[in-house]
Amino acid sequence: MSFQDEYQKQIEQIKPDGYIKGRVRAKLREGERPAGGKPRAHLLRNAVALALCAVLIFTVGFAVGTRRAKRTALSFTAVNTAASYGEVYDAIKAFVPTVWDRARNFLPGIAYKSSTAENTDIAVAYPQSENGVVATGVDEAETAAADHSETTKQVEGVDEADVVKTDGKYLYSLCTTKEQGNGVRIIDVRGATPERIGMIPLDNTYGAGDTELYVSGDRLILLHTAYPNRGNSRLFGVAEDGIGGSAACRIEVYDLSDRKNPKELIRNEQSGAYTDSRLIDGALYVVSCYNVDVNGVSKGDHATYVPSVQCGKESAAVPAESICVYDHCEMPQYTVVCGYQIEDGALFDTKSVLGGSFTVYCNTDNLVTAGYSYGGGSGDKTQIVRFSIGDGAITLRASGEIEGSLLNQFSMDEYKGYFRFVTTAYRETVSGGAVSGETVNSLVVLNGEFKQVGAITGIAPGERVYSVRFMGDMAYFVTFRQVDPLFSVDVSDPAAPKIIGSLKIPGFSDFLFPFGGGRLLGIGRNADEATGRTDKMKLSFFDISDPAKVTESHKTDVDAYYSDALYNHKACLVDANQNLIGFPAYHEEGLRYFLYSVENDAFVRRAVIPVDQDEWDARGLYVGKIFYIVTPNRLLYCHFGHYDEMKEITL
Amino acid sequence: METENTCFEPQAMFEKYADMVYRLSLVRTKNRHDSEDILQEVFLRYMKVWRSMESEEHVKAMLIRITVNCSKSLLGSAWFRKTEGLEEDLPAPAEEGRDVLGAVLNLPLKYRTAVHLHYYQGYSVEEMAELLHTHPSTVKTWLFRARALLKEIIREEE
Repeated sequence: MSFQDEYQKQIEQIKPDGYIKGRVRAKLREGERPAGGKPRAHLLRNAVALALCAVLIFTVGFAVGTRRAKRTALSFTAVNTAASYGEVYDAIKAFVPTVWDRARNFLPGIAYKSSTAENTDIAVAYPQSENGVVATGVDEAETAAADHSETTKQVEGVDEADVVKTDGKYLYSLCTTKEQGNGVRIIDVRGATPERIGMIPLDNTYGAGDTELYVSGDRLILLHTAYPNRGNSRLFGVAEDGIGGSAACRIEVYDLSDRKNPKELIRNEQSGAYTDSRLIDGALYVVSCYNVDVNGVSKGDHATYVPSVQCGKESAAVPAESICVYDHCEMPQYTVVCGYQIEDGALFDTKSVLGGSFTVYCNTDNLVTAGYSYGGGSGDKTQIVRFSIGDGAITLRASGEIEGSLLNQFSMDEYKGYFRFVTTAYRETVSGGAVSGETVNSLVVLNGEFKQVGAITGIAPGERVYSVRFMGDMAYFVTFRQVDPLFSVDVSDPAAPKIIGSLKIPGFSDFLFPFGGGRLLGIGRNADEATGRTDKMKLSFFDISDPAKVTESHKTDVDAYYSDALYNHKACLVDANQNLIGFPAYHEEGLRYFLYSVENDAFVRRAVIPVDQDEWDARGLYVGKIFYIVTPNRLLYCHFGHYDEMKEITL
Repeated sequence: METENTCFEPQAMFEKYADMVYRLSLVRTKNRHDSEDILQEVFLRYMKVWRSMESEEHVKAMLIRITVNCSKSLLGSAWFRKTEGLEEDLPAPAEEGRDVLGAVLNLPLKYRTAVHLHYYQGYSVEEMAELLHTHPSTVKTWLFRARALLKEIIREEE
């Protein structure tokens, strides 16, 4: 009996009890009655229990000297630039067969082929820009842009894509209304009443699921994954489709000089599904993950195994000298990194690494990609690759492998030439089909060549990392206890990173944001100290003015149980200047947008604004003195402080 | 008067998909009581959206998405990691067979969700990516890792 048959047979035995079904039926009938009161969300109150929920905020000081740590947590894999496509071909063909066999069923891709026939010629040139990276044109409109919020991002000066953007005069929002279809709405917010003035229809019938956008000056960039031959979604639309072809990451550049009639300037595609992107001073860096269909690989036709980039009508395979190959290749996956000027959409550089990536850290000088590596039974590993980007070119600088996996992009950081990573490793043993294991957390510091210069390993065994924030010489991260903590701090070696403080509090933070004044804002979940139940969300201020003695200076319960803000930093509005903290969250009665400010170091709840049940990706932002909530369907707005007088326009 | 789509009304869909929702909740939470709460919550939320359903596939996908969302907040708690594998809540494996369900439930959350949606609900990688709001490549990695962890069982299949 196959695994699938056996699994189906066993899961089919699971059924809800009859009386439970009866209870729900009664609730459903009750809810149908017009005057019978609305169905009450009997949320997950009773559900969570037992373990003592404690948190450690580790305060890690970096005193990274020249000394090498005694213990290395790293193994390195060399990445070499391929001399020819033949070498790339050999690397793809050299997949360990067993690994490949396991992976095969899950790789849907047919190798992506560019639409032009000429692209098999390596010599086809990209439309290169002549001046390297050029900043976008200055908006010449007379009205000055008002002070406005920005997408919550990791690194100052490095913009991250999101579903809503503003430039202080206009809002740009990805909308998915049924009447108007998917598209970007351009809303003029300079006047007293927001006015919808322009629209860019989305080409992807796949849905707006992974679509994100940037706005800079008179340029708007749309990023999403395009699936060839794919019609409407089978799941969320009506039409049947034929799933086929592998994904291409599409980059559409629009000219906004007439915002009522945005014009598409250029449409670029790079092989693979859209992973992440950054916008730095007019230079757009896009990372995609491209799966090679190993069965369809033909040595003579490098289009079957080499990623390609299409700029406008011109398409070209990534040259062999821009492809980097690991010594051993575990997955037939490329990380494709492309740099485009947003002024004209021209490609200025591209590099590909044979090895997939899912997480991207980027500051103004470096872009680091991290991908999972199947350790072959020796535990999970993360493959990291560093590109320098500061000089208008994308240059491979280093690669390596660290033990464990990363939580998210905040787990990576660069400061003064040192690269820091916080990892959780899961060491597991498999016996008789049962898997058991334990987590171990580490912080490693690497130099620019990805050689280890310091590390703390074995932090908080049995826990995992919940949130990380690097702030220059300091790192703060939260791990969560499964058992009562017994934690020891090694301060004997000043030349290595060391834990200098820890704080045990109930609950945990999913994100940590600097909030000025020696404060760190934590957005997370609470836990009852007596019963250990995690229940509602909470906001915390950590006083980090003395990193050795971090305290939770204030906290407040949020009357909600779940929020996108616990998983996506871009869903949080965190603005210390305007003194605003906002996020959408599920209240007992439904979805609400919660807005807080801070007075005398204490949280003050400003508003709880109802939004529709399916508007979980609502974003809060401000332009001038107006506060906005933008959802895929609507725009809500009011003057600061007048949150009970929200007005609304549909998008 | 809304008369359209009456075939997707909550009570009918509950009879049809209660088991599906309950099983997915159980795979995610590994706990019977939570799955019962989630079952109720999912259909109460479905009541608010059912009029916009366009097809039965749409209904299924919506129910699965709501189920995943409802179980998310629970799963952040330490309690779930502490009480991995509440065997008393689960049926005993068939006498001759391997405990594939137990093995799947021992996987990390994302992996077991992916395995369940793929092997039981029959969704493709792209569809799962859509359901779970993530990239297909990410789902692929979950499945790939899940299969690696389940290799003792999977091997016999191959």
